[in-house]
Amino acid sequence: MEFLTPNRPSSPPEFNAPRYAYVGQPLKADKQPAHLTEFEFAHKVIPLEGGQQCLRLLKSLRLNINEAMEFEVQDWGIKMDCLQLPELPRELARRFMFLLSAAENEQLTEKDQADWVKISDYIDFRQFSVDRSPPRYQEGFLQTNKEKFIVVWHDGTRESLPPKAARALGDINAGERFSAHVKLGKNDETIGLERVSLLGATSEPAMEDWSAWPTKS
Amino acid sequence: MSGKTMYKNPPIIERVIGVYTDIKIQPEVFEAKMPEWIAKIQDHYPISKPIAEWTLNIKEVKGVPMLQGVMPKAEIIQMFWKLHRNKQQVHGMRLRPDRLVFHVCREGDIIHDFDEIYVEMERWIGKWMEHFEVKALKGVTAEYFNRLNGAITPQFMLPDGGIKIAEALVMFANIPGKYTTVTPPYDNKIRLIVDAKRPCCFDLRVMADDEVRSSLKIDFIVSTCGQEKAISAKDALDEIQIAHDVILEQFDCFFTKQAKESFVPYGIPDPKPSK
Repeated sequence: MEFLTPNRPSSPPEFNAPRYAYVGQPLKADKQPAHLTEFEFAHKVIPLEGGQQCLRLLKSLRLNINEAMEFEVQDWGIKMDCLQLPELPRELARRFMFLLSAAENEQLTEKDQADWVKISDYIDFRQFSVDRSPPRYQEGFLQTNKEKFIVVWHDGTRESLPPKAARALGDINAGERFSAHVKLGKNDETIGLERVSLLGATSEPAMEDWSAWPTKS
Repeated sequence: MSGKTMYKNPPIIERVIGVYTDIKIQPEVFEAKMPEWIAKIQDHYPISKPIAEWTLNIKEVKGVPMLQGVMPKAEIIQMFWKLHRNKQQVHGMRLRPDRLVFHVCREGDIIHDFDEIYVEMERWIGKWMEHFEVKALKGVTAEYFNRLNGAITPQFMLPDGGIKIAEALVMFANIPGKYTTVTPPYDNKIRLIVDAKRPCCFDLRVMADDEVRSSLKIDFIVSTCGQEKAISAKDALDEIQIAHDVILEQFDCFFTKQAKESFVPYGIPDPKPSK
Protein backbone atom coordinates (compact mmCIF):
# COMPACT_ATOMS: atom_id res chain seq x y z
CA MET A 1 0.00 0.00 0.00
CA GLU A 2 2.99 2.32 -0.25
CA PHE A 3 2.37 5.40 -2.34
CA LEU A 4 3.44 8.99 -2.47
CA THR A 5 0.79 11.56 -1.82
CA PRO A 6 0.97 15.27 -2.56
CA ASN A 7 -1.30 15.99 0.40
CA ARG A 8 0.31 17.80 3.26
CA PRO A 9 -2.18 17.91 6.09
CA SER A 10 0.11 19.91 8.30
CA SER A 11 3.62 21.18 8.40
CA PRO A 12 5.56 19.90 11.35
CA PRO A 13 6.43 22.63 13.83
CA GLU A 14 9.96 23.78 14.07
CA PHE A 15 12.34 21.12 15.14
CA ASN A 16 13.06 21.42 18.87
CA ALA A 17 16.43 19.76 19.00
CA PRO A 18 19.60 21.82 18.84
CA ARG A 19 20.42 22.56 15.23
CA TYR A 20 23.73 23.19 13.57
CA ALA A 21 24.50 24.80 10.26
CA TYR A 22 27.10 22.94 8.27
CA VAL A 23 29.01 24.89 5.66
CA GLY A 24 31.02 22.46 3.59
CA GLN A 25 32.16 24.85 0.86
CA PRO A 26 33.27 28.46 1.07
CA LEU A 27 30.66 30.85 -0.29
CA LYS A 28 31.52 32.32 -3.66
CA ALA A 29 30.85 36.03 -3.42
CA ASP A 30 32.92 39.18 -3.72
CA LYS A 31 31.13 40.83 -0.84
CA GLN A 32 29.13 39.63 2.08
CA PRO A 33 25.47 40.51 1.43
CA ALA A 34 24.50 43.42 3.65
CA HIS A 35 21.24 41.84 4.77
CA LEU A 36 23.12 38.96 6.35
CA THR A 37 25.04 41.30 8.62
CA GLU A 38 21.99 43.05 10.00
CA PHE A 39 19.54 41.23 12.25
CA GLU A 40 16.38 42.41 13.95
CA PHE A 41 16.20 41.67 17.66
CA ALA A 42 12.89 39.86 18.07
CA HIS A 43 12.19 41.06 21.63
CA LYS A 44 10.50 44.35 22.46
CA VAL A 45 10.01 43.93 26.20
CA ILE A 46 13.14 44.22 28.31
CA PRO A 47 12.76 43.11 31.93
CA LEU A 48 14.01 45.48 34.63
CA GLU A 49 14.51 44.81 38.33
CA GLY A 50 14.23 41.06 37.89
CA GLY A 51 11.05 41.38 35.87
CA GLN A 52 9.18 43.54 38.38
CA GLN A 53 9.13 46.21 35.70
CA CYS A 54 9.59 46.21 31.95
CA LEU A 55 11.06 48.50 29.39
CA ARG A 56 8.82 48.45 26.34
CA LEU A 57 10.41 49.30 23.01
CA LEU A 58 8.44 51.15 20.37
CA LYS A 59 10.57 49.83 17.53
CA SER A 60 12.82 46.85 16.99
CA LEU A 61 16.50 46.95 17.71
CA ARG A 62 18.96 46.36 14.90
CA LEU A 63 22.02 44.23 15.49
CA ASN A 64 24.91 44.84 13.11
CA ILE A 65 27.35 41.95 12.94
CA ASN A 66 31.00 42.37 12.03
CA GLU A 67 33.51 39.83 10.71
CA ALA A 68 34.73 39.03 14.22
CA MET A 69 31.22 37.69 14.96
CA GLU A 70 30.42 40.55 17.29
CA PHE A 71 27.23 42.53 17.06
CA GLU A 72 26.63 46.17 17.77
CA VAL A 73 23.21 47.38 18.80
CA GLN A 74 22.43 50.28 16.53
CA ASP A 75 22.01 53.59 18.43
CA TRP A 76 22.58 52.00 21.83
CA GLY A 77 26.38 51.91 21.98
CA ILE A 78 26.44 48.24 23.01
CA LYS A 79 28.84 45.75 21.43
CA MET A 80 28.88 42.04 22.31
CA ASP A 81 30.03 38.67 21.04
CA CYS A 82 27.30 36.87 19.10
CA LEU A 83 27.48 33.96 21.53
CA GLN A 84 26.43 36.34 24.30
CA LEU A 85 23.10 37.26 22.73
CA PRO A 86 21.11 35.89 25.73
CA GLU A 87 22.86 38.54 27.86
CA LEU A 88 21.66 41.38 25.65
CA PRO A 89 18.43 42.21 27.58
CA ARG A 90 20.49 42.69 30.72
CA GLU A 91 22.97 44.94 28.91
CA LEU A 92 20.12 46.98 27.43
CA ALA A 93 18.58 47.39 30.88
CA ARG A 94 21.92 48.45 32.34
CA ARG A 95 22.59 50.94 29.53
CA PHE A 96 19.12 52.43 29.90
CA MET A 97 19.30 52.69 33.70
CA PHE A 98 22.76 54.24 33.54
CA LEU A 99 21.69 56.89 31.03
CA LEU A 100 18.42 57.55 32.85
CA SER A 101 20.24 58.10 36.10
CA ALA A 102 22.88 60.28 34.44
CA ALA A 103 20.16 62.31 32.71
CA GLU A 104 18.24 62.79 35.95
CA ASN A 105 21.42 63.97 37.67
CA GLU A 106 22.53 66.04 34.68
CA GLN A 107 25.74 64.05 34.42
CA LEU A 108 25.53 62.94 30.80
CA THR A 109 28.74 63.21 28.79
CA GLU A 110 28.53 64.50 25.25
CA LYS A 111 28.55 60.98 23.81
CA ASP A 112 26.06 59.69 26.36
CA GLN A 113 23.80 62.61 25.60
CA ALA A 114 23.86 61.75 21.89
CA ASP A 115 23.10 58.09 22.74
CA TRP A 116 20.34 59.10 25.16
CA VAL A 117 18.60 61.15 22.48
CA LYS A 118 18.71 58.21 20.07
CA ILE A 119 17.69 55.66 22.71
CA SER A 120 14.76 57.83 23.77
CA ASP A 121 13.19 57.20 20.36
CA TYR A 122 12.98 53.50 21.18
CA ILE A 123 11.42 53.73 24.63
CA ASP A 124 7.73 53.89 25.47
CA PHE A 125 8.31 56.51 28.17
CA ARG A 126 4.65 56.95 28.98
CA GLN A 127 4.31 53.28 29.85
CA PHE A 128 7.64 53.35 31.66
CA SER A 129 6.49 56.28 33.84
CA VAL A 130 3.24 54.49 34.65
CA ASP A 131 5.06 51.26 35.51
CA ARG A 132 7.57 53.08 37.66
CA SER A 133 5.20 55.32 39.58
CA PRO A 134 4.44 54.08 43.10
CA PRO A 135 0.84 53.28 44.16
CA ARG A 136 -1.08 56.28 45.58
CA TYR A 137 -3.05 56.32 48.80
CA GLN A 138 -6.75 56.76 48.11
CA GLU A 139 -10.00 56.34 49.96
CA GLY A 140 -13.22 55.18 48.45
CA PHE A 141 -16.60 53.64 48.93
CA LEU A 142 -17.56 50.25 47.47
CA GLN A 143 -20.89 50.93 45.84
CA THR A 144 -21.56 47.41 44.56
CA ASN A 145 -19.77 44.06 44.37
CA LYS A 146 -22.43 42.02 42.57
CA GLU A 147 -21.67 41.64 38.87
CA LYS A 148 -19.16 44.44 38.81
CA PHE A 149 -17.06 46.08 41.48
CA ILE A 150 -17.96 49.76 41.33
CA VAL A 151 -16.11 52.19 43.56
CA VAL A 152 -16.78 55.85 44.28
CA TRP A 153 -13.42 57.47 44.96
CA HIS A 154 -12.78 60.30 47.38
CA ASP A 155 -13.08 62.92 44.63
CA GLY A 156 -16.51 61.66 43.63
CA THR A 157 -15.40 59.77 40.50
CA ARG A 158 -17.05 56.40 39.94
CA GLU A 159 -15.02 53.56 38.56
CA SER A 160 -15.74 49.98 37.57
CA LEU A 161 -12.67 47.97 38.60
CA PRO A 162 -11.09 45.32 36.38
CA PRO A 163 -11.37 41.79 37.89
CA LYS A 164 -7.68 41.61 38.79
CA ALA A 165 -7.85 44.83 40.83
CA ALA A 166 -11.29 44.01 42.23
CA ARG A 167 -10.01 40.81 43.87
CA ALA A 168 -8.27 42.96 46.48
CA LEU A 169 -11.68 44.22 47.65
CA GLY A 170 -13.01 40.72 48.32
CA ASP A 171 -13.20 41.39 52.06
CA ILE A 172 -15.07 44.68 51.72
CA ASN A 173 -18.85 44.66 51.75
CA ALA A 174 -20.91 46.76 49.42
CA GLY A 175 -21.60 50.07 51.08
CA GLU A 176 -18.38 50.13 53.12
CA ARG A 177 -15.58 52.66 52.98
CA PHE A 178 -12.00 51.59 52.52
CA SER A 179 -8.54 52.94 51.90
CA ALA A 180 -5.95 51.42 49.62
CA HIS A 181 -2.76 52.11 47.75
CA VAL A 182 -3.85 52.33 44.14
CA LYS A 183 -1.70 51.60 41.11
CA LEU A 184 -2.90 53.63 38.14
CA GLY A 185 -2.59 52.77 34.46
CA LYS A 186 -1.90 54.83 31.35
CA ASN A 187 -5.26 56.60 31.43
CA ASP A 188 -5.40 56.98 35.19
CA GLU A 189 -7.55 53.87 35.47
CA THR A 190 -7.03 51.59 38.46
CA ILE A 191 -4.98 48.54 37.55
CA GLY A 192 -4.16 47.29 41.03
CA LEU A 193 -4.97 47.75 44.71
CA GLU A 194 -2.86 46.85 47.69
CA ARG A 195 -2.73 47.47 51.46
CA VAL A 196 -6.54 47.67 51.64
CA SER A 197 -7.97 48.84 54.97
CA LEU A 198 -11.56 48.92 56.10
CA LEU A 199 -12.64 52.39 57.19
CA GLY A 200 -15.93 51.10 58.48
CA ALA A 201 -18.74 53.58 58.20
CA THR A 202 -21.47 52.06 56.08
CA SER A 203 -22.70 55.18 54.44
CA GLU A 204 -22.18 56.82 51.09
CA PRO A 205 -19.73 59.68 51.48
CA ALA A 206 -21.16 63.14 51.34
CA MET A 207 -19.41 65.02 48.58
CA GLU A 208 -18.63 67.99 50.79
CA ASP A 209 -16.46 65.76 53.02
CA TRP A 210 -14.13 65.17 50.10
CA SER A 211 -13.91 68.64 48.67
CA ALA A 212 -10.50 69.31 50.22
CA TRP A 213 -8.95 66.21 48.64
CA PRO A 214 -6.95 66.42 45.44
CA THR A 215 -8.57 64.90 42.38
CA LYS A 216 -7.09 61.81 40.73
CA SER A 217 -5.94 63.52 37.56
CA MET B 1 2.25 1.87 29.57
CA SER B 2 1.12 1.42 25.97
CA GLY B 3 1.53 -2.34 25.55
CA LYS B 4 4.25 -1.83 22.90
CA THR B 5 7.68 -3.43 23.16
CA MET B 6 10.01 -1.49 25.44
CA TYR B 7 13.80 -1.80 25.37
CA LYS B 8 16.44 -1.64 28.04
CA ASN B 9 19.19 -0.24 25.79
CA PRO B 10 17.64 1.67 22.89
CA PRO B 11 19.94 4.08 21.04
CA ILE B 12 17.94 7.08 22.22
CA ILE B 13 19.78 10.21 23.33
CA GLU B 14 16.90 12.63 23.86
CA ARG B 15 13.11 12.67 24.09
CA VAL B 16 11.18 15.87 23.50
CA ILE B 17 7.45 16.47 23.81
CA GLY B 18 5.72 19.75 23.08
CA VAL B 19 2.29 21.34 22.97
CA TYR B 20 1.44 24.19 20.59
CA THR B 21 -0.97 27.08 21.04
CA ASP B 22 -3.72 27.53 18.45
CA ILE B 23 -3.09 31.27 18.53
CA LYS B 24 0.45 32.44 19.19
CA ILE B 25 0.79 34.33 22.47
CA GLN B 26 1.48 37.97 21.67
CA PRO B 27 5.27 38.33 22.01
CA GLU B 28 4.87 41.32 24.32
CA VAL B 29 2.46 39.46 26.57
CA PHE B 30 4.76 36.45 26.54
CA GLU B 31 7.78 38.51 27.53
CA ALA B 32 5.93 40.56 30.12
CA LYS B 33 4.63 37.40 31.81
CA MET B 34 7.90 35.51 31.61
CA PRO B 35 9.51 36.86 34.83
CA GLU B 36 6.49 35.72 36.86
CA TRP B 37 6.61 32.31 35.16
CA ILE B 38 10.29 32.00 36.03
CA ALA B 39 9.39 32.65 39.66
CA LYS B 40 6.70 29.94 39.47
CA ILE B 41 9.03 27.25 38.11
CA GLN B 42 12.03 28.35 40.17
CA ASP B 43 11.83 25.48 42.66
CA HIS B 44 11.63 22.85 39.92
CA TYR B 45 13.65 24.36 37.05
CA PRO B 46 16.10 26.70 38.74
CA ILE B 47 18.74 26.82 36.01
CA SER B 48 18.04 29.31 33.25
CA LYS B 49 20.10 28.74 30.10
CA PRO B 50 18.55 30.79 27.32
CA ILE B 51 19.50 29.85 23.77
CA ALA B 52 20.38 32.34 21.02
CA GLU B 53 18.68 31.71 17.71
CA TRP B 54 19.67 33.54 14.53
CA THR B 55 17.10 33.00 11.80
CA LEU B 56 17.46 33.62 8.07
CA ASN B 57 14.35 33.64 5.92
CA ILE B 58 15.00 31.34 2.99
CA LYS B 59 12.37 30.28 0.49
CA GLU B 60 12.77 27.72 -2.24
CA VAL B 61 12.01 29.16 -5.67
CA LYS B 62 12.11 26.59 -8.48
CA GLY B 63 14.48 24.46 -6.46
CA VAL B 64 16.83 27.33 -5.66
CA PRO B 65 17.06 28.59 -2.07
CA MET B 66 16.49 32.36 -2.09
CA LEU B 67 16.98 34.77 0.79
CA GLN B 68 13.83 36.70 1.53
CA GLY B 69 13.62 40.44 1.84
CA VAL B 70 12.42 40.23 5.44
CA MET B 71 15.16 41.11 7.86
CA PRO B 72 16.81 38.12 9.57
CA LYS B 73 15.88 37.77 13.23
CA ALA B 74 17.88 37.25 16.38
CA GLU B 75 15.85 35.66 19.15
CA ILE B 76 16.41 34.41 22.67
CA ILE B 77 14.69 31.13 23.45
CA GLN B 78 13.85 30.52 27.10
CA MET B 79 15.26 27.24 28.34
CA PHE B 80 15.29 25.97 31.91
CA TRP B 81 16.89 22.92 33.48
CA LYS B 82 16.42 20.95 36.65
CA LEU B 83 19.29 20.66 39.06
CA HIS B 84 21.47 17.61 38.45
CA ARG B 85 23.94 16.00 40.80
CA ASN B 86 26.69 16.17 38.10
CA LYS B 87 25.57 19.54 36.75
CA GLN B 88 24.38 17.91 33.54
CA GLN B 89 21.42 19.13 31.52
CA VAL B 90 18.99 16.24 31.65
CA HIS B 91 15.46 17.49 32.34
CA GLY B 92 14.62 20.70 30.52
CA MET B 93 11.70 23.01 29.84
CA ARG B 94 11.65 25.22 26.76
CA LEU B 95 9.21 28.03 26.09
CA ARG B 96 8.34 30.07 23.05
CA PRO B 97 5.33 32.25 22.35
CA ASP B 98 3.66 29.31 20.62
CA ARG B 99 4.74 26.28 22.62
CA LEU B 100 5.70 24.54 25.83
CA VAL B 101 8.30 21.81 25.39
CA PHE B 102 9.94 19.32 27.73
CA HIS B 103 13.24 17.53 27.16
CA VAL B 104 14.84 14.55 28.80
CA CYS B 105 18.36 13.66 27.72
CA ARG B 106 20.34 10.48 28.08
CA GLU B 107 23.15 10.52 30.64
CA GLY B 108 25.61 7.76 29.90
CA ASP B 109 23.87 4.41 30.31
CA ILE B 110 20.81 5.97 31.90
CA ILE B 111 18.35 6.37 29.05
CA HIS B 112 15.46 7.73 31.11
CA ASP B 113 11.86 7.24 30.14
CA PHE B 114 8.89 8.80 28.36
CA ASP B 115 6.93 8.83 31.61
CA GLU B 116 9.41 11.28 33.11
CA ILE B 117 8.58 14.02 30.62
CA TYR B 118 4.91 13.07 30.39
CA VAL B 119 4.58 13.68 34.13
CA GLU B 120 6.24 17.07 33.72
CA MET B 121 3.87 18.01 30.93
CA GLU B 122 0.93 16.85 33.03
CA ARG B 123 2.12 18.99 35.93
CA TRP B 124 2.79 22.19 34.01
CA ILE B 125 0.47 22.34 30.99
CA GLY B 126 -2.50 23.69 32.95
CA LYS B 127 -0.42 26.23 34.85
CA TRP B 128 1.26 27.34 31.62
CA MET B 129 -2.09 27.78 29.82
CA GLU B 130 -3.51 29.74 32.73
CA HIS B 131 -0.44 31.90 33.20
CA PHE B 132 -0.01 32.84 29.54
CA GLU B 133 -3.78 32.91 28.94
CA VAL B 134 -3.68 30.15 26.34
CA LYS B 135 -7.26 29.19 25.49
CA ALA B 136 -6.69 26.18 23.23
CA LEU B 137 -3.99 24.11 21.58
CA LYS B 138 -3.49 23.10 17.99
CA GLY B 139 -1.64 19.86 18.66
CA VAL B 140 1.44 18.19 20.04
CA THR B 141 4.79 16.84 18.90
CA ALA B 142 6.96 14.03 20.15
CA GLU B 143 10.55 13.95 18.94
CA TYR B 144 12.89 11.07 19.78
CA PHE B 145 16.53 11.43 18.78
CA ASN B 146 18.68 8.31 18.38
CA ARG B 147 22.34 7.79 17.53
CA LEU B 148 24.25 4.84 16.17
CA ASN B 149 27.89 5.25 17.12
CA GLY B 150 30.69 3.64 19.06
CA ALA B 151 29.60 4.98 22.43
CA ILE B 152 25.91 4.11 22.23
CA THR B 153 25.70 1.10 19.90
CA PRO B 154 29.13 -0.58 19.78
CA GLN B 155 27.42 -3.71 18.44
CA PHE B 156 27.12 -2.05 15.01
CA MET B 157 30.65 -0.69 14.77
CA LEU B 158 33.41 -2.05 12.55
CA PRO B 159 37.07 -1.87 13.62
CA ASP B 160 37.75 0.82 10.98
CA GLY B 161 35.02 3.07 12.41
CA GLY B 162 32.37 2.06 9.91
CA ILE B 163 28.79 1.42 10.97
CA LYS B 164 26.95 -1.76 9.97
CA ILE B 165 24.01 0.32 8.86
CA ALA B 166 22.15 -2.44 7.00
CA GLU B 167 22.18 -4.58 10.13
CA ALA B 168 20.52 -1.80 12.09
CA LEU B 169 17.99 -0.19 9.79
CA VAL B 170 15.54 -1.93 7.51
CA MET B 171 15.62 0.86 4.95
CA PHE B 172 19.34 0.29 4.28
CA ALA B 173 19.02 -3.48 3.98
CA ASN B 174 18.28 -3.67 0.26
CA ILE B 175 19.82 -0.71 -1.52
CA PRO B 176 19.86 -1.77 -5.18
CA GLY B 177 22.85 -1.55 -7.54
CA LYS B 178 26.47 -2.53 -7.41
CA TYR B 179 28.57 -1.00 -4.63
CA THR B 180 30.93 -1.94 -1.86
CA THR B 181 29.73 0.33 0.91
CA VAL B 182 27.54 3.31 1.76
CA THR B 183 29.29 6.51 2.70
CA PRO B 184 28.26 10.03 3.73
CA PRO B 185 26.75 12.27 2.62
CA TYR B 186 23.40 10.69 3.16
CA ASP B 187 20.30 12.41 4.37
CA ASN B 188 17.03 10.56 4.19
CA LYS B 189 13.68 12.00 5.15
CA ILE B 190 10.31 10.40 4.92
CA ARG B 191 6.89 11.45 6.14
CA LEU B 192 4.09 9.02 6.77
CA ILE B 193 0.54 10.17 7.31
CA VAL B 194 -0.60 8.00 10.17
CA ASP B 195 -4.02 9.58 10.56
CA ALA B 196 -5.19 12.22 8.10
CA LYS B 197 -8.22 13.15 10.18
CA ARG B 198 -6.55 13.98 13.48
CA PRO B 199 -4.04 14.78 11.71
CA CYS B 200 -1.03 12.72 12.76
CA CYS B 201 2.19 12.61 10.76
CA PHE B 202 5.31 10.61 11.40
CA ASP B 203 8.65 11.88 10.13
CA LEU B 204 11.81 9.80 9.99
CA ARG B 205 15.17 11.39 9.31
CA VAL B 206 18.36 9.42 8.95
CA MET B 207 21.51 11.39 8.35
CA ALA B 208 25.21 11.44 9.06
CA ASP B 209 26.12 13.27 12.26
CA ASP B 210 28.39 16.12 11.20
CA GLU B 211 29.48 16.71 14.76
CA VAL B 212 30.89 13.25 15.45
CA ARG B 213 32.89 10.92 13.19
CA SER B 214 31.21 7.58 12.50
CA SER B 215 27.89 8.53 13.93
CA LEU B 216 24.42 8.30 12.49
CA LYS B 217 21.41 10.37 13.53
CA ILE B 218 18.02 8.69 13.48
CA ASP B 219 15.19 11.02 14.42
CA PHE B 220 11.58 10.00 14.93
CA ILE B 221 9.10 12.87 14.98
CA VAL B 222 5.34 12.74 15.38
CA SER B 223 3.17 15.81 14.98
CA THR B 224 -0.57 16.16 15.48
CA CYS B 225 -0.72 19.89 14.78
CA GLY B 226 -3.54 21.02 12.52
CA GLN B 227 -4.51 24.41 11.17
CA GLU B 228 -8.15 24.45 12.28
CA LYS B 229 -7.59 22.51 15.47
CA ALA B 230 -8.38 23.71 19.00
CA ILE B 231 -7.98 21.11 21.73
CA SER B 232 -7.86 21.18 25.51
CA ALA B 233 -4.95 20.33 27.80
CA LYS B 234 -6.48 16.93 28.49
CA ASP B 235 -6.83 16.19 24.76
CA ALA B 236 -3.23 17.27 24.28
CA LEU B 237 -2.04 14.87 26.97
CA ASP B 238 -3.98 12.08 25.23
CA GLU B 239 -2.36 13.03 21.93
CA ILE B 240 1.11 12.94 23.49
CA GLN B 241 0.39 9.37 24.56
CA ILE B 242 -0.76 8.57 21.01
CA ALA B 243 2.37 10.18 19.55
CA HIS B 244 4.53 8.13 21.89
CA ASP B 245 2.75 4.94 20.80
CA VAL B 246 3.25 5.83 17.13
CA ILE B 247 6.97 6.26 17.73
CA LEU B 248 7.18 2.89 19.48
CA GLU B 249 5.38 1.26 16.55
CA GLN B 250 7.62 2.89 13.99
CA PHE B 251 10.70 2.07 16.02
CA ASP B 252 9.63 -1.56 15.75
CA CYS B 253 9.21 -1.21 11.99
CA PHE B 254 12.35 0.67 11.02
CA PHE B 255 14.93 -1.18 13.12
CA THR B 256 15.91 -4.69 12.09
CA LYS B 257 15.08 -7.72 14.21
CA GLN B 258 18.78 -8.11 14.96
CA ALA B 259 19.01 -4.49 16.10
CA LYS B 260 15.98 -4.77 18.33
CA GLU B 261 17.36 -7.88 19.96
CA SER B 262 20.57 -6.01 20.67
CA PHE B 263 18.55 -3.25 22.34
CA VAL B 264 17.26 -5.92 24.76
CA PRO B 265 13.46 -5.96 24.92
CA TYR B 266 12.03 -6.10 28.43
CA GLY B 267 11.30 -9.69 29.41
CA ILE B 268 14.34 -11.04 27.56
CA PRO B 269 17.63 -11.53 29.42
CA ASP B 270 20.36 -8.98 28.68
CA PRO B 271 23.13 -10.70 26.64
CA LYS B 272 25.66 -8.17 27.96
CA PRO B 273 26.85 -8.58 31.53
CA SER B 274 25.39 -5.79 33.58
CA LYS B 275 27.81 -3.14 34.83
